[in-house]
Amino acid sequence: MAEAPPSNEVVIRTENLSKTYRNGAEQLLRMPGVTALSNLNMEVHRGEVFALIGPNGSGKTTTLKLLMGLIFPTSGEVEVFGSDPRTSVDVKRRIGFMPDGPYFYGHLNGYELLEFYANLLGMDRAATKQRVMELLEKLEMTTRAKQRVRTYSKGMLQRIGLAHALLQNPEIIFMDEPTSGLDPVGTADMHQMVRQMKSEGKTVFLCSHFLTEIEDLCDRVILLDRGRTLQYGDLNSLLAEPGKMRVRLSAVSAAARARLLPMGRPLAEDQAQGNLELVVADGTDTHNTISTANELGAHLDLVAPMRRTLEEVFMESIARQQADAPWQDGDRGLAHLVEREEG
Amino acid sequence: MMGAILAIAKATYRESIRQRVLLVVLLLGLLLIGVSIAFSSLSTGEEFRFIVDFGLTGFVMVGLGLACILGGFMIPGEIDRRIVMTVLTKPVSRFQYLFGKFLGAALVIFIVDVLMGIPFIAAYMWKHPQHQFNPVLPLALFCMFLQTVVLLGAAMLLSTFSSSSFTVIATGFVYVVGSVNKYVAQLAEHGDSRVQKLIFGVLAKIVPNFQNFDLRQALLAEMPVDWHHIAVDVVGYTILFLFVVLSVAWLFFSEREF
Amino acid sequence: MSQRTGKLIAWAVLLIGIVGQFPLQSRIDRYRSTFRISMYADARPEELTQVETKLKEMGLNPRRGQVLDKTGKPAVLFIAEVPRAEWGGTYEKYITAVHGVDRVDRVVPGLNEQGIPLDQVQSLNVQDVGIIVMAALIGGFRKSAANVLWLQNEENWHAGKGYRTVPLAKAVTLLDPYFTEAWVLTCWHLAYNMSVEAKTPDEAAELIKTGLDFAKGGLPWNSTRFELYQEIGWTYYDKLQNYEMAADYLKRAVGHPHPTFLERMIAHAYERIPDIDNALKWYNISLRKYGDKDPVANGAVATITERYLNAWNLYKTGDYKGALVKLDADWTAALARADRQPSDTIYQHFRARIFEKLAEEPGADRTAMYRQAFAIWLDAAKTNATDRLARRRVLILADNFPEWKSQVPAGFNDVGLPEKRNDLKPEHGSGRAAEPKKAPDGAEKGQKKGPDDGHGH
Ligand SMILES: Nc1ncnc2c1ncn2[C@@H]1O[C@H](COP(=O)(O)OP(=O)(O)OP(=O)(O)O)[C@@H](O)[C@H]1O
Ligand SMILES: [Mg+2]
Repeated sequence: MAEAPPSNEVVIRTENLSKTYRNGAEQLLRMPGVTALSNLNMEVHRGEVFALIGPNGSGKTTTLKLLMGLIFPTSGEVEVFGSDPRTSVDVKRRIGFMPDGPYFYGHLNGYELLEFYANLLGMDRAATKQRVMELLEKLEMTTRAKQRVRTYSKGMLQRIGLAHALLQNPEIIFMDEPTSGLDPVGTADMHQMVRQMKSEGKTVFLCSHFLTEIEDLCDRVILLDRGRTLQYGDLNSLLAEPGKMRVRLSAVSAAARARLLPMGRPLAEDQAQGNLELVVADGTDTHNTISTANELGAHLDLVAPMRRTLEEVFMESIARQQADAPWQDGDRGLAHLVEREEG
Repeated sequence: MMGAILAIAKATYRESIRQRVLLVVLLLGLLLIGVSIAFSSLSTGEEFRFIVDFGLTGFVMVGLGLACILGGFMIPGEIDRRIVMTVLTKPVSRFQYLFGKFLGAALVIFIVDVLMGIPFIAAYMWKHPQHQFNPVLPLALFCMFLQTVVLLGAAMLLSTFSSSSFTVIATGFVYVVGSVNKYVAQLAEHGDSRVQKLIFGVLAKIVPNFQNFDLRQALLAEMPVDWHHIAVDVVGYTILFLFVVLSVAWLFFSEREF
Repeated sequence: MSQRTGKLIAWAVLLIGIVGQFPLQSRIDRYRSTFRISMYADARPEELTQVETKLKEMGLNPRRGQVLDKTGKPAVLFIAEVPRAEWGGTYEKYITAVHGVDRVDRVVPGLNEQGIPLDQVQSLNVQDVGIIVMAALIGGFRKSAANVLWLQNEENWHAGKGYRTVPLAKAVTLLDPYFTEAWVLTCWHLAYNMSVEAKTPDEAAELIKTGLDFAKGGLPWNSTRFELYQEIGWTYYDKLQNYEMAADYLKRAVGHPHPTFLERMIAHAYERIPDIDNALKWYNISLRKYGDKDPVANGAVATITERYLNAWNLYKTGDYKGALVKLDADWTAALARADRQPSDTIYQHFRARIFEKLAEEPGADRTAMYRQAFAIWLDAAKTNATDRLARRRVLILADNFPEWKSQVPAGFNDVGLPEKRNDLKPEHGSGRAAEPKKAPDGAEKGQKKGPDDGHGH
């Protein structure tokens, strides 16, 4: 299957989207509440895999819920296919949602459950049967179709969750932590599914805090921390550092180290082992670094164009953000200290 | 529009009847009817009256239990288990969801009432001196069903903005006040203070009058009841009350976040 | 549909729901507040029109419907709308519409009326309120709660806690006023068991009166069954020898399905007044209804006819002297014929009544005649300790002629109803039943007075 190139058609757009959770008393007393998301601006294009990345409590699930009209923005705007998801039932025909750790009617069996969602979509009997069987097949759940959902394992639940999201053959599919709780095989399967959906031209919008998986999967990302946008854009350009080279050396003596360090930015270092990794500008600087290392008896292990891991970008951004604008005490209360597994 | 409502109703019904707690409630109801047959010999010569009294009480109790369980835990449960998110991200409006849930629960209540009603009517005819069928019996049972549905509506309304435990307590309160609505109204008329009058007056007005559903007296006295009184007045009252609770429930529910 | 249109619709529906409920509620109230009287299938057209007319006189506009009576046959049902404001216990006045009509099956005061009048609710004691709240909580469990309490009552009784009977019975009947047995047994318990254990005759009299009052309180809810009427009638008859009241209540009892001895009991009451006409009338009713094989009724008709009827006919015309002569003659003849001494209660009562009448004749020797009556009553009272009618007459006469008081034995107390004592003044004749001329409609009058009887004090 040929990969359909992402188009420039914007299917999701947010503008200064903010969400502050306030319970009844807080609303009444006009207390600050918990700001889960502030001033999110993004555009998602048709056919791309878009990822929302952030640690626990950074507002990923909040964003998803806002996009699907399950909760309402405190300020700002959301548009999915150009209309407000809160009021438009039609939009929901074109999207699929796979919630984080999905829960379903436990007393129904897998088939009945999917049949129920198919009925909600207004599918007739024959179409329902055909579509449900097809999906069960695709997700290797056929043998479990007559088993009650409450007896499903986490992996099976994720699969049935995906099946239910795919029932209406949606244009956009939202996935909240699609691989949480899955074993490596299950994770690989899930990634395969995402790639396949992308190849079918679907837009995939996913949330994750597994940075490595995102790195392989997605086209564009947004980095969130405590509701604020840290980075937003094309993954490749985020990771790449143009004009920089990475030089990895070993058997670096103390004297060599003292000479080499000022020549670039240290990326990693192990003094005991004599390992050192430096980022230096390409061209003359790289040449100088290598010859200096050679002179001082250090071994050259690797010279490559600089490309950071997502994790590095992430840690760096957080560090920078905190240096720029450290969160004041009480800014977010204690809520962010309680890291929640599920959002 | 109707398709989604019916699908939700059907799933609610399917899910509910497989829950053990519902079976327990039904068995309790059947037990009450059985006990009423056993104890009816206490009131010699009036056994069928005793069965009416005890049996209808069984219906009331089971109805109250069902309304609390279904109305109080159904929607909050689905919010807790985040099922509601999966439903509302399908092309289903919040009204459809609410109304579908309501219809499904009402169907469950209807089935429980029918399952209890058959042995009840049989017991009545068995103990009646002339083994007569009383046409008021099905009307009275239908009224019990309507009363339970009204309670269900009230419970669902309460559950859209409060916790399950509060809903159960408040539904019980609604039931008690509704059953003695007449006396509450009288207390409002003859209250000691303005405040008392106001509180009782408001209570009497907003809580449904469950005496409207009570045909016990007619059954005990073996008096006929016009079916069009039930079909027009009582059903009408039920529908109007449901209009009120469901529209308020929807107003709350449409503002809810999940 | 936009969010706003949705909200608008919701508000509109809400408004319709709220506004629509009021007319419907009043429709339901009107239907449920109907006072219903069902007749037996074999009720005669006159009886139907009688009830209908009475209801109309009361300002109600009854319509006719159909109902199955206790025998399962289709019968006439009267449905009358009662003004809402009148509900709350006052409907018992409508029950008088069925008094004196034989073929009434049931009276139902509205389909929603459990029968607790408001004034009763307001004067409840803590215990009763507790019970009401409890009953409300367990949801229309009223009848069953009453049954349970009633079992408790019997237990108390056997455990020697009889004093708890009245409050408990009040609670029971409050919960279920149609629980006839509770009214009946409580009355019986007070008038028979507790009054016997009373320390003084006054206390005993008070207990009997309490029992009767209690039973009468249950009439509005049990006026379509014989049991309570019979109990009250029999208590008047047996405990107080107040035969006029006894006949009144017993006659109301026979308006409903009842055991066969009731008609005879009415006749017995009348002959003891004595009211020979009515006694004969009821013996004959009994014979007609249950066949003429009844030896008691047949015998009674024969003895009354031969011993008292002739004198009675003279008595009715006002010929008291002639009546006295005839009575003595017939009695002597009867004595001669009988193989053993017959009971002379009726003879004595009749004779004393005649002397009381003679005392009222213009130009008669009032004191002498009353003196004669006094002697007869005193004799009767002494020979038959349970003849309280005689005892009452003795006391009444002694009150009017204080010089005779010395002859009244010590401890000869009036254990009758206190009000009867005030009623009966020798100067005005000898009480209601001592005007036998009016005896036939006297019964009618008595019936109307019946319900008021319990409210006079
Ligand atoms: N209903 C709510 N009421 C109050 N605060 C909430 C609510 N839902 C989420 N929050 C808070 O909002 C913040 C963002 O939550 P959110 O669930 O969006 O995080 P997340 O990025 O999905 O986290 P995770 O990775 O743990 O799923 C958190 O601090 C959370 O405590
Ligand atoms: Mg989350």
